[in-house]
Amino acid sequence: MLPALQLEFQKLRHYPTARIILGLYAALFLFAVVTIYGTRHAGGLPPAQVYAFPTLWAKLATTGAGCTVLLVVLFIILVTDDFQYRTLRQQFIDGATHGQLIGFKIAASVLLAGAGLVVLLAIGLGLGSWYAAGTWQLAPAQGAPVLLAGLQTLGFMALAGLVAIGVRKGGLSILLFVLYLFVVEPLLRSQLPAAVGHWLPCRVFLDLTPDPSHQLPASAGPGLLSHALPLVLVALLYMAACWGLSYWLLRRRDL
Amino acid sequence: MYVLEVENLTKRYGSRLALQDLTMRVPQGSVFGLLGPNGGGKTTTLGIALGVLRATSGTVRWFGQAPTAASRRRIGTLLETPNFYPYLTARQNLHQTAAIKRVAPTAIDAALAATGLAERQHDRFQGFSLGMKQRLALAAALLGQPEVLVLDEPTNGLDPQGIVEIRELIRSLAARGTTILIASHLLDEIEKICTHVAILSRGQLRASGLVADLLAPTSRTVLRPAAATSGQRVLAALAALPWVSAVRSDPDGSISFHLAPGHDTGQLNEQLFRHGLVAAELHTVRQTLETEFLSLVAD
Repeated sequence: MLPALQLEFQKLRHYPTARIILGLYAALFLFAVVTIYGTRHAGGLPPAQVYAFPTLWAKLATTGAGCTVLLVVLFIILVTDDFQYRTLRQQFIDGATHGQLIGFKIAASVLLAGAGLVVLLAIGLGLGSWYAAGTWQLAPAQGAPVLLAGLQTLGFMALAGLVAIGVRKGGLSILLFVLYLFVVEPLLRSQLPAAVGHWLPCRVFLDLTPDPSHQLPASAGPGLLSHALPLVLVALLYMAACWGLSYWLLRRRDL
Repeated sequence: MYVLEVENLTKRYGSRLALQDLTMRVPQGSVFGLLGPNGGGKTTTLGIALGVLRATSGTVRWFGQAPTAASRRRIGTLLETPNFYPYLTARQNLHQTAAIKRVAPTAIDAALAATGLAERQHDRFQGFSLGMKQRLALAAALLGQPEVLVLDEPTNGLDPQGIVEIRELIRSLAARGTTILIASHLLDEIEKICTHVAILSRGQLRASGLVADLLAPTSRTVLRPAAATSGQRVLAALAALPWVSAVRSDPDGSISFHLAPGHDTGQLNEQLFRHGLVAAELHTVRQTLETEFLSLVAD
């Protein structure tokens, strides 16, 4: 996995599109946090309270979920680039196995999810230390929402990877993913019993972080993690299924 | 010993038959030319051999075994177009290839030098001309000194000097024992560097074997007797030689005939001299691969 991470990091580091989208992601994330918690949700609370550790992490994880779509778009571009440039085919010819090719994609998703977490941590540490320096000592506590936000990103990317490997074209893959996320799955959920609709993949991934329309949980630490355990397990199952299907698709078609 | 054995290979794209029952063997140490018109099945054959296309039926064996990732790492390949990340430099792209081939990064310098890319190694692939891209693809194929090189139109986009350099590179690699499988439209190039050839047309194998053997049956040797030498005696002497056939007396006084493979004009001249016969002119009019190719794919 380490060589795969190194190779994907080299690509990401030198890819202008990646730098632009990651920059946009960071800017959008910061803008969303300041806009949402500085006005509507804050309800007139002083910034020292709004950006206080450790509950700040849960707020950021929630807000980050909305921006993750940008990281997913970048991930789809990275995956479909390999079909467009025929580099995936060349990597296979050069001696990579189908499993390793999927491993490279997983490595790319880990790096992007990691980049997302770095942005989240940077924004959290920046705002928290600026506005609520008095709570700084609580910053390392209750980091479960941050981990869940990372898992959420990985989940969406596993699904996006399946679409991208199946479709192989960037624009169409992005369109199909967005359609599924915002149209198809909500429609399905509205038609299915709540007990079933609740377990559809995008709902599961979204539910990993607290719903922004609900009151934030009082405890965002280990309690939240154990509360989210069934969701985490189902999310992991979905991810395994998506990557397994991607592997199967890659094997059964011409490269 | 064969490095590549292809048995009864068939590939269908829907109702279109791209390859039909192809059987072909590439001997170790050979420079094997794969010839054919566009759509003849060359790239399909290479694609299946390298595992990126699935055969409808038939088998492929590399180094006597079913293909694996390990066997692919023993092969350097340039298939169709150079495939690299446009935003990475030549060196960065080769670094990616070296990691996949499990070759030490130190091999990158040698590959860059061999293909004349050392000075452009820090330029991005997207800024390269077609010829430079082709050189980079060759550099990637050469990484780790592969036992076999598979080159699909390796001189595409190269200027005349580049073509000569690549030809010399292929020759030097072949001299070191590297087996080279080369698909090309450039029949002259193939004839100059290949020891073996297979001709494909409409997905079918039309001819295969040593280049010399393929051309020998249609090549004719022409002999013009010296003024003091009787043409009739020459005809009689030629008729007595078992490795001379299809002797024909031409209106201009010259005599033409076929020499069996393995025999040459030097041997013939020696035989004539023993009979006291002198040739004023003796040469072989060789059939070119182009003529042979055109006659084989004419239908």
